[in-house]
Amino acid sequence: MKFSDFVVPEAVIPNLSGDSKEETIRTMVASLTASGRIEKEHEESIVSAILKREELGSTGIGHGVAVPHTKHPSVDKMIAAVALAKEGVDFASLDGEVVYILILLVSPPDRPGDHLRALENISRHLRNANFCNFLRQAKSSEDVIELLQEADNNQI
Amino acid sequence: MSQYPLIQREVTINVENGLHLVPCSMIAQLAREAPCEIRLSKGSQVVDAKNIFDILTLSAEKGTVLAIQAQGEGADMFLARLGALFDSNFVPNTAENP
Repeated sequence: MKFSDFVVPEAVIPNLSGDSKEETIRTMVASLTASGRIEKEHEESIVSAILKREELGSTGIGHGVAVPHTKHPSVDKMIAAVALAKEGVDFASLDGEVVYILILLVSPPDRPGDHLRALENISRHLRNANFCNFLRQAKSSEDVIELLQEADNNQI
Repeated sequence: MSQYPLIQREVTINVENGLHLVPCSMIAQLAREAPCEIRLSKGSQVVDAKNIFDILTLSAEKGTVLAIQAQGEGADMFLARLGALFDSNFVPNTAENP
C-alpha cells in the first residue's frame, strides 16, 4: 500500500498550530470534512471515536510521529489527513517526546487488513530519520505531497 | 559468538484486527524491559521487538504465525512473558497475572 492510496491531498496541513491533542485531532478531521471525504454530520462522531481510542494508549509512537486513528462506518475506503506541527504537540507519546508529524487515519470497520497495511507503510517510511527530517522541513502542502510521492516511488 | 543460545517460540496472532498499534506498543514496551535481544520473525523478515516501527512493518494479520526469538541475559524469562502476552490476546492484566 502507498501513501497515495489513502492520503487525501486536500487534507494535508503543512503548518498545524493547535497546541493540544484534542485541538489537533479536531483540525485534522475538519480538513477531511472540508475535502468532502467525510460528511459534516459524522465529524463529531469521528473526533469522539479517535479521542476514545487515544484513551487506550497514545498513538504517538516515537520519532516525533503520531498516528491517531479510528474505524468508522461512514467511510467506505481508508482515508488520511497529514499534518505537520512545527512547534510540536504533546501527545503523551510512548517516548515522552512531542510530535511533529501526524497522520490521522479513518478506516471502514470491515477492512482490518487495509489498516495494517497503511500502518506498515507509515512505519516503514517514518522510521527513516531522513524522511522525517525532510517532512518536517516541508513548507507547503505541495512539498508534503511531493515527499510522499517520492516515498511511494522509493526515492527517499 | 554470544555465550547465550538463541531461543525461540512460535506464536499465532489471534487478535481479530491483527497486530495493530495497541499490541505492537505492548510488545515493544515489554521487550524494552529486557536486557537481552528480542526479535520477531515472520518468515524471512526479522525485526527488533523493542522498536514499534519495526514491529508494525510485519503487517501481521489474524492467523499469522510469528517466532519470538530471544538471546542473552534473561532470555528465558522474557520469551515466556512475551509468549504469555500473545496467549492473552493482548488483553491487559491477564498476560502478567494469569
